[in-house]
Amino acid sequence: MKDKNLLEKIREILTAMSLEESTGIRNDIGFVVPSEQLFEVTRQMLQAGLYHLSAITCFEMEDGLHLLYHFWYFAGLTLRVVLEKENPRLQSLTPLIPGAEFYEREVREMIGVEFDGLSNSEPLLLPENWQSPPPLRKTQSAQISASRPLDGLNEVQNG
Amino acid sequence: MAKMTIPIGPQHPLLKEPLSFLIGVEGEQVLSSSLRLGYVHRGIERLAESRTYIQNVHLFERVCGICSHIHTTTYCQGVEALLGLEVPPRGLDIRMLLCEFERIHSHLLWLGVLSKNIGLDTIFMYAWRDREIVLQMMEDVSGGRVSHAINMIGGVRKDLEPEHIESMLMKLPELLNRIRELIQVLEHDRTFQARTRGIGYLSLEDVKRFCVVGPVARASGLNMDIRRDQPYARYSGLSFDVPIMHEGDIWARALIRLYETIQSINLCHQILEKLTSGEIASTAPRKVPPGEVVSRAEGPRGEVVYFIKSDGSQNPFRVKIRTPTLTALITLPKQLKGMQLADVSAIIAGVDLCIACADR
Amino acid sequence: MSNLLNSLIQILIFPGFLFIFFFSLLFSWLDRKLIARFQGRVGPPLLQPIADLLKLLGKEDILPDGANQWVAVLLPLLSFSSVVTAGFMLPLLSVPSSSFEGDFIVVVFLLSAPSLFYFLAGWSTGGVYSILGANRSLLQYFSYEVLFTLALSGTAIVSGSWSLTGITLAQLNGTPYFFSQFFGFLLAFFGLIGKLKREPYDIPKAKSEVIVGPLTEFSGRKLALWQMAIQFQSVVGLSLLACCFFGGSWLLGGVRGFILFFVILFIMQFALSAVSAMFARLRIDQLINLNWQVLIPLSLVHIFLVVIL
Repeated sequence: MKDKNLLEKIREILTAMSLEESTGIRNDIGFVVPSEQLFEVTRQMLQAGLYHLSAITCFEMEDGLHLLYHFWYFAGLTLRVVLEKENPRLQSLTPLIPGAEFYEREVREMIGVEFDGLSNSEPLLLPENWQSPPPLRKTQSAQISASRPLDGLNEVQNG
Repeated sequence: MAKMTIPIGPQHPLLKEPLSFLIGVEGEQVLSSSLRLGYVHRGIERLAESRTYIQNVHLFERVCGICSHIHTTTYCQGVEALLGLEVPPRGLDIRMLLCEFERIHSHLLWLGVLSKNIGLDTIFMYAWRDREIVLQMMEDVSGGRVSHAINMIGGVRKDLEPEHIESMLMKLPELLNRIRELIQVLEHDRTFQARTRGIGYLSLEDVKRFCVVGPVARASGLNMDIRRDQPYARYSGLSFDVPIMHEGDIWARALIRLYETIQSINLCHQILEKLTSGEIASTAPRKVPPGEVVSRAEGPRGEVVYFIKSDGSQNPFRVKIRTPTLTALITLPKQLKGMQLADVSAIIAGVDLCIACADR
Repeated sequence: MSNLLNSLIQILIFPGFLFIFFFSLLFSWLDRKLIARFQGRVGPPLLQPIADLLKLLGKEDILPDGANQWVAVLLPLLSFSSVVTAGFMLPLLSVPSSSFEGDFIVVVFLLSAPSLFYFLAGWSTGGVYSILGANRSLLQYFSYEVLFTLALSGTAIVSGSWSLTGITLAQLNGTPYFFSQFFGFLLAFFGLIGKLKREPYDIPKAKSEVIVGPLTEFSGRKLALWQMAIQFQSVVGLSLLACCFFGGSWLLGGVRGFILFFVILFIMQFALSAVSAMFARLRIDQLINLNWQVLIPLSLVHIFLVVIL
């Protein structure tokens, strides 16, 4: 049953944790969360009754790697985490939401963020012998050229 | 008995698309399973960054063959939200009509696949024969049976002819009768129930923890449907039920999908009868102002999410797609554990896999 | 001399090899056509089975490395020959020259031998799917052979003879056992479905689970031999049922008897196809439960009643 006040409650909880609300995402509620606080924020939201994680988006901007956690409860709620580009690490949400495993694995292989506590870190979509940099990195994307798409593939073919 | 590892896939008669399962069995009982995706990964999200918004409509149609229209619908909705563009009502009606046809066609296809995998070929033949009616109606609307290419940013590109509307209104009751017959079989046939009841059980707790969406979640009691909960297009003006069951097994999922098909036929009736006249599309500017948007829609398998970020140029900065099959795949190892080997094919078929969607 | 000629004709032509060959092609077509019609399709043309056979004979014959060449050739040949031998021992239009007291047991055994060879085929060619299918076929074998034999034994007991000719002749003087032992006929019919590994008991070769089961690694001429053996087994099995429960074609004798025989086989094939089209495939444990908890006890009761009454 729809709890009409749930999103307002969550908004209050998150504001009380002194997180800034951003209006970046159209039609959604958005909050910027420092990386250390993400796990705790998620735990509080789960306790309040918000359980559906739709997706985890990742992209690279000048100021760092942006990770967006899209939650949903009859309307969208997005948490934004900004990580530095060198050695990005973040705590995995899988102990709280097991369904996040596939999303985190994909973020890990596509942009290179390491998740602490992620039990299965194998690549989800890329082959095991992928040796080029993560595909969604813009600064290193020059290395992924059309002539040499999979570095490891030649060994497999000749072996 | 000896322990064996049985590979299911990448090539297997059971699977329609390549997917690799390694199932550890002892005798006939499944002990463990592991899953490997990525055989159909085409890097669509990365490709989208080097194409214009209009070219991307063409690209996202090809994420999946069965639910192609819902992908372009979600994408176009997102871009239209960024542009602040209003789509005329008739365009939205045609979009919704095709969405519902696609839902019916996908569910009938799935029913055939499930029946074939449990050995009941007859239902496979009947379901696909009934699917022909839907495919013909879709061809009337868009010109293509499976690939429609009817969405564009700002609306749809092809209008409905009056004679097609009439023929559709005649074919829909026939389709409804046939679906009712299929429901009769599912509810009463004992061999079908012997192979699907109690198999592949997921509790409501599991479904919430794994963030499952779609008919798989609704069969376990989760009351979630984007068309009703966060209406898009013109769904807020239509009335329909969202069937929910609590058994959580394959039989419940099969029945839910058939009940949804009946609701979709009902929706198609409403759309065709309340069709507004007017334009079908608004012209869209080429450059999209900077911004981010999350667009959601209810596909045949559940919630489809598109995140689009624009930086003001002609190409999107980032497009992220999350398809519903991915949520169902996470639950498969749990569903398979402890089951008999013969149930593996029913369980894998029961979650309605669309690997092309999951891999992108 | 004429005895020898007679025997040769029986073995090679009727009711021997040629007869069974053409009949099995015809009934294979009939089966596919009937199932197609049940499913709302058109179905294959009449010459389809022979076209498939000819095409298969021309295909490449590969075996995996670990499989034993000689065993892989021997097994289909043995299956094939045992079914044909069983076939020409059936008293279809006249007393076969091979008839003797106890040939009922021999025929039932020869008909069950292909299932054993099927199992061995899976084991000898190796591979995960073959072994799985072979295991399942062995589990199923014990269930259905017992049922089939028990149900048919009812007719032998009542006729007082353990030769097929005796069973057939005994029905000429009275009514066919189909009417007096209808229950036994049903049980034997189920047994036959299991022996032939047709839906809903086609568990060893369930396509979505074990690809083709024991025959996965066979191709080309060996596979053609297997297919012929399986098709022959179907016709010979039905003919055996016709002899034991309907008195073969002896009731009317001559051409009319032959037509009656054909009609009986047609009706039984119709029933087989209908059952195949209607039911989903059972799981092996469900099948074994059904068999040992329901069907075998019923057949024992049936034998008991036959003996007393």
